[in-house]
Amino acid sequence: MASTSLALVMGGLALFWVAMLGLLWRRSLIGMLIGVLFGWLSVVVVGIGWLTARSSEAMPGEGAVLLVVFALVGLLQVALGLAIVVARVVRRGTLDVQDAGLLEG
Amino acid sequence: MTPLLVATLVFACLAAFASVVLGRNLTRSIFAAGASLAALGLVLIESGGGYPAWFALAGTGLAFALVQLFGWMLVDVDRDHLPRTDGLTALARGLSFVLLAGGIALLGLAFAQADLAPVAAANAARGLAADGVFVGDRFFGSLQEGASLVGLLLAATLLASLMLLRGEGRNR
Repeated sequence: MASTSLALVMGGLALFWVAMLGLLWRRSLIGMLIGVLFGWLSVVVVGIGWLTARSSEAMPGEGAVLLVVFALVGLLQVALGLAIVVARVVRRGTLDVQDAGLLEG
Repeated sequence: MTPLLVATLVFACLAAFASVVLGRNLTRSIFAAGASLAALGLVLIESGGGYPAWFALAGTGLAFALVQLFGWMLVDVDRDHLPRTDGLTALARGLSFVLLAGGIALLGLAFAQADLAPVAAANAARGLAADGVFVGDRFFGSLQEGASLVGLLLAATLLASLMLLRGEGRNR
């Protein structure tokens, strides 16, 4: 594998580990949201590394649309998270994560 | 890829780690995330990422700005985080993260050590530099035992973390 592709894939994998740390460590809401963003971004980085290795004159940019979809899904996930934050603040007046852990009927 | 770009990629990963670790302080966390995104953008664009890279970078930048804006408006900084995790749970979770890092490193080593000469020769006619077959070939072939061991250990520690989390706050 070419050095550029290898570096991008390795960097993307390292970024994925950081993202999982932020998401599953669940120390703060901001850390989790940033973890979600970096998780999807790491998928895009690995995908671009993979596409760089595969790209050729025969099939230029193959799979690029899939990466755009991955990025879009990540953005929608963060938008959903922020919408939940707004809904909780509107209903409860504050964002208390211990209280948010309780299921509502 | 030039050494400068490799260093930029390493900086991006370190800044991303800092942004996750600094999650309790919104401004510092977003600043570190922005620095990481800028470094990633430089690497991706210089590597010929094309329009997917531009789209992902612009979208992620917008999302960071939104998180910052919503954080300023809404997040109660005193109560937006959970209390410190129980010691045993933190140990089990930390172990699972170390194993996850080991698994990811194993995957990276498989890429680095992959002998692409036969694959490149086979794909030359189709104009491809590499295909996905050799990844599976490595993990179900020469690296099968190591990959299985890392997977089993990771599953065991994650299960232990979940079992410990169930009792957190009630039995301890």
